[in-house]
Amino acid sequence: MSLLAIQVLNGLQLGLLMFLVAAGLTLVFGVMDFINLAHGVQYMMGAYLAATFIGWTGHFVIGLGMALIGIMIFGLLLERVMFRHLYARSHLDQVLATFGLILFLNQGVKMVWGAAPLGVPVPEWFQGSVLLGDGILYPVYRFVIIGSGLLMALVLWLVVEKTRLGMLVRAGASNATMLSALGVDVRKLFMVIFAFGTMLAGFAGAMAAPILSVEPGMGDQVLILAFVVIVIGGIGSIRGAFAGALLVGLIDTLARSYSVDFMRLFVGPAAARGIANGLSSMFIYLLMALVLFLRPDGLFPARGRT
Amino acid sequence: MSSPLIFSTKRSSFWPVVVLCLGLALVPVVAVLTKQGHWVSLTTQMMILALAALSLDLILGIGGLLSFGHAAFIGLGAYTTGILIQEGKGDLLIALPMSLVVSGLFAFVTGIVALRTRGVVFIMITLAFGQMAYFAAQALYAYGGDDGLTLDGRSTVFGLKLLSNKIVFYYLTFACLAGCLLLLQRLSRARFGRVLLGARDNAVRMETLGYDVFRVRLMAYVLSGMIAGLAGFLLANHTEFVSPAYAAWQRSGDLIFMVIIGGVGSLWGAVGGALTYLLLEEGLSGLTEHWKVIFGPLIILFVLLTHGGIEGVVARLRDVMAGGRHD
Amino acid sequence: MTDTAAIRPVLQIDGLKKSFGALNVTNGVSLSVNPGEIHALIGPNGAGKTTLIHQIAGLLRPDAGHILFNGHDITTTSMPQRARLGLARTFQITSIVPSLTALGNVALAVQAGADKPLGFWTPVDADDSLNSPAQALLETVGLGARAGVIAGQLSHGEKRALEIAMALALKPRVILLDEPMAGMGHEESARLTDLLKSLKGTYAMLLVEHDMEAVFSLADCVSVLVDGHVLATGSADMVRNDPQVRAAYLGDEAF
Repeated sequence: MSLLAIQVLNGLQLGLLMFLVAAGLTLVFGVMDFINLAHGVQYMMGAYLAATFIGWTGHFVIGLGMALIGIMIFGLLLERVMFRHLYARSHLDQVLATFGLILFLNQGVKMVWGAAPLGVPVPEWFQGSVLLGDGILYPVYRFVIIGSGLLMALVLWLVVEKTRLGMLVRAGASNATMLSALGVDVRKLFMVIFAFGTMLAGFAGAMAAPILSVEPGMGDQVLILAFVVIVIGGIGSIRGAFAGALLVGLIDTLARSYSVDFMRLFVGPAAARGIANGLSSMFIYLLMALVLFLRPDGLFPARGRT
Repeated sequence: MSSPLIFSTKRSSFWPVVVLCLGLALVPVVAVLTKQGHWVSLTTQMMILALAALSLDLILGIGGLLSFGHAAFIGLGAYTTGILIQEGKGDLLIALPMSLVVSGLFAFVTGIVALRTRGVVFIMITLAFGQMAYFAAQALYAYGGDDGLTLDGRSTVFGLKLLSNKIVFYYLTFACLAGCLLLLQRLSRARFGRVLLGARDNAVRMETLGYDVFRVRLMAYVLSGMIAGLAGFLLANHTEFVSPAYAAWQRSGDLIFMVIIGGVGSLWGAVGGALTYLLLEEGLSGLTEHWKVIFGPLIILFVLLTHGGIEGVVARLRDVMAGGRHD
Repeated sequence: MTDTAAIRPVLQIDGLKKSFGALNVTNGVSLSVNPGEIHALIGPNGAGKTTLIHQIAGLLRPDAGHILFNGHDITTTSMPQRARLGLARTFQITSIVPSLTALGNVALAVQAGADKPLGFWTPVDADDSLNSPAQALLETVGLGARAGVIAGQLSHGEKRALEIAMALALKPRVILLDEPMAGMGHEESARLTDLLKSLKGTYAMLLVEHDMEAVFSLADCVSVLVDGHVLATGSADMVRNDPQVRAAYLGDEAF
């Protein structure tokens, strides 16, 4: 049972990281109908910038802050130079262009920082482990991730449900053209949503840096999982992103941790590890297929049917 | 929000296809005469990619369905072939149909789920299913797992090792490509193709006319998957190697690039797209190992500056020369 | 409306209800359309006319109530199936296939009702069994000369006419027309009115319109939809003079 508790906490942690990435993405899809494959790259940049700035300043929080500013600038630059010209284009054009962006940035990162994974030390105050009941030790830093993830979720919830800006966002998610017809400066709304989403993704990457490996292409799998989260949760819905992310995080983690043992029942250890790795990665997609089969619009769709 | 797609109802696409096929048929002859044997191998590779891009153009160009997981079908076809070869049952008469069946089945099952969604969600789901196939390949520990598997040889034909001759293999590939080109050209101009096109432009309209759009799309999706599976069969034989990388999502992106560059919906443009991609890859990687850092922005610039790919440019040139109006 | 007990309505709607959250868009609507007659549906914006059409056509499913088509209950039947049974519609916002020619659009509609709607080999361009009826239909709506024009390039009025040709291609029993005159100039409206008049008697029509001139010259029967329910049903004159209707919608202008 102690193993289960640890895995549940890990699942929660992964889920919250996924939520941070997925939240920005789902809003961008829902409100702007803009498909941004390069969102995973923002997660990656967050990690790389954090690694760099923390390395320079030797201080976690300052490094993190600088990284967030860097991510914002980076995101706004991208928006200005490239994305702005794609909003009115077809999904096909958006997909291809952002695909090109991923290629460029993954390679670019390799050129600047090298292909080897970067190490980011866990900040001093958060080192060590906490003793939970039953003699289980759980790293403090992972609790910090869970905590900051929940905090961000709360902040997002407050903004979206309780503020005027949030109301515009929610309205935009169900019908952006209507919003524009009502005189709302949709362009500015887009920029705000985009900037915020980028920051969330970068924040997730930065926070994840000490515990995951910072390497080129790290954002790709995260992006695809974020897609799964959004599809399960429902496009344009923060609530859906939250539910979907936790579901995905928990199931993926649990599937991974138990699949090796499960396979050991049938085959030898090396084979078990090899098979389990692939099989457990597949699991989450099977879940997605199941959810979609029953609910093509996801669990909490933001757009009502016409 | 859609960019103008150029669908030609004229028969004008006929001649480019004929010229193309003639050209391709003559490549081995020219290669042998000029002692450039490697051209045969390179062109074979291009034709295999073109076949895959062609299959995507059916659902993307004509159907308007942006599948970002198409490489999965190639991977499935390749692995089916590879596994059969390793198990000694790799004869063309077994491996080819089996590749079609496996990829077709995957297309059917995933299509049922994916085709009930539209727009952005469809793109994401196909991407996810593509990943699923990738991980399934990785899970095949007995057949190389992540590292991939070198095959014992190519498929036999009626028990004979005909395909180890690269010219014979070239013409097999050529036959597959030409055959599928012809098939899809007819299909796109027939009733089926028109319904698919109508559904691309206006699915609701089609339903109110009495068409079962879901069924038609599913049929196209399965056919498309099967042709890509055929490409997988050929790929496994050509390289005598299978790897999960064949099903990687980046490969799906490359296919989309090829389709767009060749001109969405033009079918024969897929060949041009495959050729362009390979030339770019060859040329750019000669400059630097980090060739993707140039390729990426090229793609971006291409999208930002053009509409409709090569076929679009050609069509526009035709209009200008005819002194007529655009579109 | 005279007593038509002997004539069975071709389209009958009973107590249809539809809500979106707290908003009751369709609040118990009942009406019927007799064979060959034009039944007009008028009402202020927001009354729920298009939502009603969507439910009849099958794009939306009502929360309660029944839709009967030639006696069959089609309340839960799919859209394609309704079309095949003979229920055609045109859209408020023009809905055609812009990449095909005008002829192509109508041929596509004809194809839907053909023996083999999904052929795989024979090219459509040279298929007379589709193109001849399509051309004839285009002539009927006055677009005969524009058959080869890409539909996306037709004028607004021509596109509306094209939609009607496509609807006719289904050999329908009932045509649902959702504001066909919308966005049309005076001359175009007059032409379309004449066209619809020529179709009266052969086809039954449920006509949603704001253009009062057209409505009162075409309609055998008028229903007024306000706030999701039918305020009054009757002949054009009856409705015109009904005080409730004047108060809610028509105002005191003399027609």
